[in-house]
Amino acid sequence: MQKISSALHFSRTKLSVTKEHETHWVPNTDVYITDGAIVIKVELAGMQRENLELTIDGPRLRIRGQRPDGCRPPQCKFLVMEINYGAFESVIELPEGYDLCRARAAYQNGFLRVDVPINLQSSPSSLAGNDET
Amino acid sequence: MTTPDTEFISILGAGGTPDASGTKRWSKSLPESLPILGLSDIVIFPGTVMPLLVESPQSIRLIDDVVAGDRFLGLVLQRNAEIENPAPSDLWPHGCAGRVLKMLKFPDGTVRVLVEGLRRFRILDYAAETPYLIARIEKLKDVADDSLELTALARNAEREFQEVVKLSPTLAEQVKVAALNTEDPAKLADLIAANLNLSLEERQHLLETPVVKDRLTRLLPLLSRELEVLRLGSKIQNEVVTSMSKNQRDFFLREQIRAIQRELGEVDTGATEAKELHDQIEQNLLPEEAKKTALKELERLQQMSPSMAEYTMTRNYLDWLINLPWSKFTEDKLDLAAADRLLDEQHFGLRKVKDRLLEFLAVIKLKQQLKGPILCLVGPPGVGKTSLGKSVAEALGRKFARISLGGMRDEAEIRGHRRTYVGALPGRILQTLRRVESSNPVILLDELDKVGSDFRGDPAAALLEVLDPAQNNTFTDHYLDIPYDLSRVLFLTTANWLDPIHPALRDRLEVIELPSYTAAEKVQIARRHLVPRQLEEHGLKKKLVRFPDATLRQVIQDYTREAGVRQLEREIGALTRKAARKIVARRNQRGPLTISPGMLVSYLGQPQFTSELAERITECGIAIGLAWTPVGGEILFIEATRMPGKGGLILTGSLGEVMKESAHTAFSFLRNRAAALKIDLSDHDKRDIHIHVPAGATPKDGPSAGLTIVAALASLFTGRQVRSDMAMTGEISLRGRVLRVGGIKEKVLAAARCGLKQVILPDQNRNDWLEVPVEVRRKLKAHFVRNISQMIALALCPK
Repeated sequence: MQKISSALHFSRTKLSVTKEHETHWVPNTDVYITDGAIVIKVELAGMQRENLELTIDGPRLRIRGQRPDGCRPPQCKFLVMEINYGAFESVIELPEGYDLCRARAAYQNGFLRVDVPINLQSSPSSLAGNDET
Repeated sequence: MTTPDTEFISILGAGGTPDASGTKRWSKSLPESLPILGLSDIVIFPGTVMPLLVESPQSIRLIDDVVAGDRFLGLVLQRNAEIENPAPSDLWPHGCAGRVLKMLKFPDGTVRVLVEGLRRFRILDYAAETPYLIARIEKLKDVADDSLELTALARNAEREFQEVVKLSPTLAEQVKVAALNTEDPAKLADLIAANLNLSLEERQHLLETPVVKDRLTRLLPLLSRELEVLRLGSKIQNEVVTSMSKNQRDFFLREQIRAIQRELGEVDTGATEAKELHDQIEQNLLPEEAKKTALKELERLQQMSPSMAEYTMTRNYLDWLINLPWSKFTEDKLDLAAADRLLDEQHFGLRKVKDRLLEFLAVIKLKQQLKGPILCLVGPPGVGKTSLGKSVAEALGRKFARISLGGMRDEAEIRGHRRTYVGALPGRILQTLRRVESSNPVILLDELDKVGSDFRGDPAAALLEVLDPAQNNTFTDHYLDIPYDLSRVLFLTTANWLDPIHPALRDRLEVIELPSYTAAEKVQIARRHLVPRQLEEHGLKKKLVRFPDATLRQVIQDYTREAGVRQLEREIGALTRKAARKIVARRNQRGPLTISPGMLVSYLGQPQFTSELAERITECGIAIGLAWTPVGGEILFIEATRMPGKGGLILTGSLGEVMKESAHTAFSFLRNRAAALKIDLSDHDKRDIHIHVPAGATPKDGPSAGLTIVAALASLFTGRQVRSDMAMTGEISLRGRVLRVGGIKEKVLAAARCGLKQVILPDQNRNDWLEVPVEVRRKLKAHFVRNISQMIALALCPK
């Protein structure tokens, strides 16, 4: 039940999905490694491009924004509530060896996907030549 | 992977300027006022997610509004958990702002919400109280510095917390990981506070402390206490688990053995053994108390593994308990005539003793539950005390057992060892009962006068209980520890003499004295009992060897000197062996072999005890005295002599105090009466007198030699010999009176045995003379004297 327990362990480096603003919620996030890239996938249905902001801060990628609940009338009574609306934020600290400057982000079918390619300069030996983009 | 509705989104670099308005728009902070939800039994800390159950209509309204709105609310602990709709005064002033993550309404109207704690706040005032509380709040920031102290506190707290998680059964591993990943001391403190087992007040205090250092300082002792509690708990748990698992393991293995035995067709020994024992307990009619104990022990036995040392102990104890003859009795034969016949058959003479025994049997016949005195047969060795006991048992038809007390010095021999000792056994009394398998045997306690005692206790003291008819119905053996009824056992005791017996014990005894046998009695005993027995033991037919009375008499006279008949039996045994050899050697010659007196020298060697007359009194200063010993009477030669000296009196021969005193008395009397007796003692201060009693190594005591000493001294002083066929006994007084002494019968028998013809006895002992067997009285002439002068007139030969 602990929010903080969503922290994950990578083999060598520590990757954490956190937030900086306490009032913000954290969307569900996948992070996985493919050949030549690390992929960050965020479950963010119902978003508009202008409500989404991705920033790079050193090794960290910050995804934040606001999800409006547009179709709800002001006076309503919830029976079940499980969807978060409003300001959200997700800060992902990436392991070394990925080039955030060449990252590309796409929003498709309610998922935000960010591809971060491997850094060819810092670790050319292990995954060289696998860059498809 | 790119589909038509894919929207590419620009990523702003680190150097890029973010949309200022957007940032502002999204960095929404907590509102200044929050609806306040009172919590009855939980404190929410920032960073924790907790499910809450909301039941009161007022709170449900609050949740409805919050969920429809921005989903922020204030979570504040109530001072009193019972209140449903708390007023501002019922709430603590500090709380935690939270966000509703999920909400679910149940059909019964209650609401379940999942809230996430966000930040501490302090309530400034309440803006509204209906429909629910709304308060203006002051958000509180964690106050932290970068001091080393804070780091140290945080590390310490984390380390302890890891321990707590490890030991605590309720905290998940996740929490440990979370704590490892929390570097911020403030968050760490909250994480620990939320997960530690703390009271609501303590949690509230932690919530009210925004200064991180203070919070950790407050938290650390709580952590340590919790750790101690858990350690103790886990230690207890471990111990329980260890003992449980050992028991279970044993049980499991035992079950396996049983299963294997069943498979092999072997019967489960433990179960059958237990069943056998149980049956025995039922069959043997134990008394109530013993039965209860036995069943309890059996139950314990069944729970034990046969390999345990305790098992054998308990098993042994049960065996004893079961096999004692608690309710086994033999039927008494109480035909007095038959008993009389039996006693006569087995023992010659002893009329007085037999009469006493028959009286005893008569009482038993009249009163089955005999609580009479304990009989004690006292007499010299070899007179048949033990075999008399056996005859009594036979006459009664009871089982007979003999316990020799000679040299017994441990109380436990009588009363057993406590069961705590290794190899403990019950005492001899119970062992004997078990052996004879009857609770009313005749038990002969042999050699009662030879019970010893040392640091291990006094067996005589234990015997007091055994031999007291008023007490021995609840005789408690240390081993058995259950009272055993000894009151139906007939105890007989034997002793050579009564002096060494404990006075309290002597008091319980009814003494029957067995006197020494006369020569004639010995002949009868030899003919009726000893000779047939020896012949049988040596495999000779009764008719093959004949012992004429003359031969027996000669053997008794020349080869034995005893009160009983043991030596006589040995001599007869020796003769029988010689006869056996002779009979085997002569082969074809028929007819019985008669052992005539003349053959004795060649068979038994020279006579060992020559007739006393060979040792006649040949000079002055010698007189023959009579002595009583536990092994019968004896004759003593008392010698006196005179030599130049200073008027001293020398006494030798291991004399006791009383005997020395009677020597002085004798001397003083003679000096006093010197003139009347025509003795010249004018030079007595120039001469020493020496009195010696031979067999110097044998201690002697008692006053009865007084008369003899006077005779020896008078003979010495007057120069007249004492008659050599005359013995005497008697105590003397200074005025010359002769006083009564004991043991007359034994003494007179000894005199007769030694071939003397006359005895001088105190006049007061006239009655004792009548006790002496007739044939002895016929042989001896008794003189009764009242004073010393009479004795001197009788004993000293004229010059």
